[in-house]
Amino acid sequence: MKNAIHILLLAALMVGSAAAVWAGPPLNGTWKSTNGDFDEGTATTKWAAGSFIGAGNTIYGRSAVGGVFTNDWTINCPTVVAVTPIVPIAGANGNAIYMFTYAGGYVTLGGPGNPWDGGDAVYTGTIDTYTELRTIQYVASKITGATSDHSVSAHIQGYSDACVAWGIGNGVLRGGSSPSLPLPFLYPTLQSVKGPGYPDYPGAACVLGPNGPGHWDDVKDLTVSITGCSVATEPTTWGGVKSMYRR
Amino acid sequence: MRIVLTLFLCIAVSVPAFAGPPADGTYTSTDIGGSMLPGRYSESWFNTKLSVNNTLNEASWDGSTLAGQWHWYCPWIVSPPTLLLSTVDGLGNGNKIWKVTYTGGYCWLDGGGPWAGGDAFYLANINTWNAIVTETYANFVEVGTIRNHDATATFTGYPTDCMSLSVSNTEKISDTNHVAPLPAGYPDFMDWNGCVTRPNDTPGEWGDVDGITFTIFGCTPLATKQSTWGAVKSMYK
Repeated sequence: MKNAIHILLLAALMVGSAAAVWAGPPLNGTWKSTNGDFDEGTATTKWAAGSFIGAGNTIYGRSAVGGVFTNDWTINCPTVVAVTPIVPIAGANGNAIYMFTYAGGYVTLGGPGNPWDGGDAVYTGTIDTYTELRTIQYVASKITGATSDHSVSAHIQGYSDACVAWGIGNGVLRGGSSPSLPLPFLYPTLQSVKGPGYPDYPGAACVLGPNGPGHWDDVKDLTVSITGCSVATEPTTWGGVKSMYRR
Repeated sequence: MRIVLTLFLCIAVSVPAFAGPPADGTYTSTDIGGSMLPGRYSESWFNTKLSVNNTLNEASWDGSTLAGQWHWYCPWIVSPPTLLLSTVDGLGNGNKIWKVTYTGGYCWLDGGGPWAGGDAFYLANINTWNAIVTETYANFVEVGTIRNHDATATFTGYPTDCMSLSVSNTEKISDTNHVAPLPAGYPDFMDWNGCVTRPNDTPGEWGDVDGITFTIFGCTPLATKQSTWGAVKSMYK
């Protein structure tokens, strides 16, 4: 009887394990939003100290179509740890470039319906690097627009260390709270009220909420690559399971 | 007879005086809610991507016509690009970010654009042009490139403080390493030397331009006074 219970427990354990194994890692490959492989999206950044250009600011992004969020991808709360001027602004009119280095956070890639689907409902990746290069236009000491290059790399959780995803995407500033520092936004060229197609502001522990201050962007022209995730998994037979426990 | 000649002279002179500079303002592309057309670009390579002398050509695109509303052409890479960051690992996977500085080039604007101020068209000399180029690599092969572009330019024929600023996004669609020649519907490859076109089977890349914020400032029209016939005649009495 004791042996029978033992075998039953093992069987139950193996069924559970087999389900996880059969779900499978994401597929290796490269995909582009502009090819229609997956959705583009939007992002909202919450300012830590009321500044458009500041350490401590946290970004949350999500795929969306026509103002409706979808489940293709999310960017969850990397936080700015360094701001490096690349091309400074001189005077009241001109363009400036800054590099924002982020730390922390994670990404998710939805499984079903996406080209990287390997069986899991969702894949979560711990962010290794996240960098944004932001080009800002100033006119009469006001911010009139900005574009960004976003780049990210992440390790997919639950699979081998070699299972990594990385990507790039364009961002374009659509609106935000008017910052006291460094300079205010030009309205109505930029939006002063965040529309429904943009995520709520990311707060502590990456909990989203309605309160800023912050800014919001469109995110487009995305390329996502995944590699190192095609670990072969072999179906397990009952004979194989039992042989593991024979004495 | 002198009065008739004077009349013709006044008419001829009054035409450019009434035309006027482009209208000050900030204009955005239609993809971000504005009235300005997005566009397409090509960059001719000398002889590979990110090389000195590579020459840009960007033009508005309405789905059938290139350069009907705006055209920035012939800025070229003046010095070797600076690698700001690389996360490409030993397996050739990751991202690279470059800063690229261009020099030279011109801007053309249709006079009927949202900046209309009376002239049939406007020309400007590009003062500065920077690009942030972000590439993504898989197994040492570049599989995607996006850019931020920013530029300043000074309009010709108007005071030197009549200027424009531009920021925009681009996405590379392909290049001649993958597809050749340059497909129809994209701006011609240009040669920095003389700003002339190059054959479309020479090396280069092409893609889309959007997310444009374009500002014109310092171009307030000079006050023009209406002259009466009495005033004109009085000048020649």
